[in-house]
Amino acid sequence: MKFKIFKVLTIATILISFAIPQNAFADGDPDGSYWDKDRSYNSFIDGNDVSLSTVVISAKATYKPSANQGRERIRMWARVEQVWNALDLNGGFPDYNNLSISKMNLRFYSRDSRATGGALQILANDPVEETNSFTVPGLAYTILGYFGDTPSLILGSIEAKINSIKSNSGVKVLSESGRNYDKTLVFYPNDGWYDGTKNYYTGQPIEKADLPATIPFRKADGEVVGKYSGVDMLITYSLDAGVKAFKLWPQGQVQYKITTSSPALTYYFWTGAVWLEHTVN
Amino acid sequence: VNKTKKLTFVAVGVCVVSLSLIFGSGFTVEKDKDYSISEKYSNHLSVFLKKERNAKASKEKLGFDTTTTTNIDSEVKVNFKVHVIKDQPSFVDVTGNGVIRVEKDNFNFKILDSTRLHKAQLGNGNTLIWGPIDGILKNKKGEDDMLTLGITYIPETNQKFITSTIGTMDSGFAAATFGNYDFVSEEMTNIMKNEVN
Repeated sequence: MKFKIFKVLTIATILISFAIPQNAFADGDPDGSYWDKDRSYNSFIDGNDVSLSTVVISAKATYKPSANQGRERIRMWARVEQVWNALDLNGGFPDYNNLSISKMNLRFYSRDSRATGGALQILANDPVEETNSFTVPGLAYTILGYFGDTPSLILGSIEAKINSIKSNSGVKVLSESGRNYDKTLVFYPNDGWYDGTKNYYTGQPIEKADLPATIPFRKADGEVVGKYSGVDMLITYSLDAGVKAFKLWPQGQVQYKITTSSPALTYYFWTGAVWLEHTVN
Repeated sequence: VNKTKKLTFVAVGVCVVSLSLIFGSGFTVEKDKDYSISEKYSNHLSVFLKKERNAKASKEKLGFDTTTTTNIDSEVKVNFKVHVIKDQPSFVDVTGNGVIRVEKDNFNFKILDSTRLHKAQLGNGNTLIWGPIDGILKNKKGEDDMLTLGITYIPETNQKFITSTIGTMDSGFAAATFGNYDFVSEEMTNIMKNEVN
C-alpha cells in the first residue's frame, strides 16, 4: 500500500515537472552580461520640445539562441528638478511647496507583428507583485557595448552596481489575459521632493528614482548607476524557435505630484510616454 | 488501539491543514467596500495650473476655461470599489468608473489598475482615504486622455475634495477642482505630508 502511494506520488511529480516550462536562466541569478540598447527620454511640454527631459529610460538585453530565451532589463528615472523648471513652477509660494514622484509605470511590450501571434511569451518578471512597503534589491551586472556618454566605451564593458530602492506602497504587476507579451510594473518610490531650490531625500541609504538635473540623460546608467538607480525591472521571455531580429518596445511613464503647503492638497499629473525600441536575436 | 490513535491523529492533522488552507491565516475584519461620491466644480485651482497652457487645454478637453471660470454647472462622480489588501492597513487598491459632467456633456472615465490609495485612521476614529485615482477619460474631442483625480475623502462624514488633471505634460493638460477643502484639518495635513509616497 505504502509503496503504491509512493509510486503514484513519484509519477505525479515527474509529470508535473514536465508540465512546467524549464527556464534557461533557471540558475536564479539575474546577474550576468547584458548588451546596452541605449537610452531615451521625453522632453516635450505642451507639444514643444523644451530640451529638458521629464523622464528617462534605458534598456539592456541578453539572449540565449540555444534555449530561445532572452532577458530584458529596463530601467527608468524621474527628473523632478527638470520638471519643476520645464513647468516653470517657481514663484508659486505659499500656494504650493513641493514636487515629487507619485508613481512610475514601467512596461515590457512589443509591437512586432509576430508578438500577437504568440511568438513572444513572458516567463517571469522581477520584482514580483508586492503589497507591502518593499525594497527592490540592488544588483550588479556587466554592460557590454556601452552606449552611454563616452563613444570609446562602445566596445568595452562596464560593471553596473545599483543601490536598492524603496517602493513604499509595494509593487503592482499589471497584465491582461491573452497578452503574454505585455506587462507593466507600477512602482511607488519613496524618494523625497524638490522645492525649487533644493532636493530633499528621504530614507537611508539614499534611494534615488530621480536623476538630478546635473546629470545628462546619456549618463543615466553606467558609471552613475550606483548612486542613481532609477526603478528597475527584469523580464525573462521566450521566443519561438527560428525567430530572428525580433523587436521589443520597452516603455514607461512617470506620475508626478505637487503638494500645496497648508492645507496639503495634491495634484497628480503624468509625463508623456518614453520608449526605446530595439531588436533582439 | 495504537493504530486507531494513529489514524485519529492523522485525521485531525488533515482537518487542521485543510481548514487553515481554506481560511488562510485568519479572519479578515475589513471588507471590500463600494463608494459612490460626487462633488460640484469649485474654483480652488492652484496658481501653477492657471497658466495659458492650462487655459488652452481645458477649453479643448472640457469645453471651458478652468483657469478663469468661477461658476459653471459641472460635477465629478466616481463609483469605486475599495479593495482591502491582506495584512496591509496603509493602502488599498481601487477599481471603478465615473464621469465629469460639464452642463450637458458627459466625459466618462474608467479607473485604471495602477490606482493605489493611502488609508489612515484619524484621532476621532474616522477614516482618511487619499491619493491619486488614475483613469482614462473620453474628452470633448472624443479622444482618450489620461485622467488623474487627487482625492481627499472621509467616508464617515462624506467630506471630500477632489483635484483633477486631464491629459499629459508632453501634449498639455487641463486641471479643475471639485468640492471644498475646509474640512482638511492640520491633523490630516500632517498625515498626508508625512506620507512621502
